[in-house]
Amino acid sequence: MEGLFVGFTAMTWQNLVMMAIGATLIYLAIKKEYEPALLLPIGFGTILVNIPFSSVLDQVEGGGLVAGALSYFFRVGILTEVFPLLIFVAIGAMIDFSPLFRRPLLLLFGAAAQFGIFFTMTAATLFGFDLREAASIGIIGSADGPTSIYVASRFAQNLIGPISVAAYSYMALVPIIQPPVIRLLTSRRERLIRMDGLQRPISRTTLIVFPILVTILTGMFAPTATALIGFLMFGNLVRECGVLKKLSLAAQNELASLVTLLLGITIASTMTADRFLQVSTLFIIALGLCAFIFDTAGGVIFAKLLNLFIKRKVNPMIGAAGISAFPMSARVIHKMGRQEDSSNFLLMHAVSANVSGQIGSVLAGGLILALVK
Amino acid sequence: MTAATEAVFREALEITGKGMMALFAFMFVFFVLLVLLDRLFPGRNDEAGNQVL
Repeated sequence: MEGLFVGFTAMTWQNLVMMAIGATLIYLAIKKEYEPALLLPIGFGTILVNIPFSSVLDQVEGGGLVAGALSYFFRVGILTEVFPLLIFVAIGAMIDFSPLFRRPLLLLFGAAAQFGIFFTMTAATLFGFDLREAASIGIIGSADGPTSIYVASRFAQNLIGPISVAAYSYMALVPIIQPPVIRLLTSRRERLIRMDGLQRPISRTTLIVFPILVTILTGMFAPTATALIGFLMFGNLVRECGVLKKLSLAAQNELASLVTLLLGITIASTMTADRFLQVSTLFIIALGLCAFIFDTAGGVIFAKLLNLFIKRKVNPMIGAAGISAFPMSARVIHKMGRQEDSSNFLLMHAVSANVSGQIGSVLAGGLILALVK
Repeated sequence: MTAATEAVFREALEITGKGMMALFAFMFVFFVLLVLLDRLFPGRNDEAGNQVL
């Protein structure tokens, strides 16, 4: 009979706190619809792994190790980087690069709006994190969950849980985080700037050749980024080739949904009380916010600088859409533009910057892997 | 700030400089690529694969 109550007797207050955190994530996913596809599995998984002697984690029984399902998923899905890379195939299949061809200059915002990654990495070193941990925290600013998980799985596996939660939570909070930063850095006159329409056909050949050449070029200059950019561009090639419509749809829907589900619940295997309830978690949450703020600032300030040199002015708010949170950020910018002038239509320009942000964030992840030893 | 923290901080600063420069360099190369591809294979209104916004 005693064996039946072992879960109750082994329960600690830390386990209860983690279960409350799990329940909060489920609440945010269902009630507030904050990235429900990720936060719900993470929330439920957090409850699962904090039940004492939970069989979803590896347990020692009779002197031997009994493999737990989530621990196993972690080893084969995260440590091998398979789950994040499969998500990149799905994201690639969702991206339409044609708006970028219509105004290629917006591509540069995808670089400027990654500033928060590097700023936060540098700031994190001041709080006692070593360089690899600091880089993993900074990459929250990629505003791209799979990139954050990919880099953290290489550099700081102990921090994957809080980094993932911070990355996905702040992505959901983009409509709250970005507008005040943009307003602070722009005048009303700047926010009223109109941009030309984007009405030009792009050839299919161009859209097919682009992902192939980007992969080759990136691979040649930064081999560490090849897997990240390669899987993203492979997904895009499947979309654009025109002969794999079923596969493209499967990648965008079934593959994305299934791997996201597995990724979420697998990430939760790291959300145990002993790993998560640390002071470092609070720093990671705070620094993650800092990364998003400085990403936004980087994009806006770069747009203002660019306007000093170009004839066809860019609405500086577009710079903020250079982060990877797609299409949330583009929608935020469009909405802000309409609030200032209801006839100002910025959506497609913002989408272009947002798409460039997806390339930029993946590249930034690859560069971090190359530069941090 | 301890000497060890300062050393890591300086290294992070250096990586920030290199990282941002490399990022802009890559994006510039892709910018040139976009322009070149668009010139080499101009889109036509009647092309089946066109995606006109």
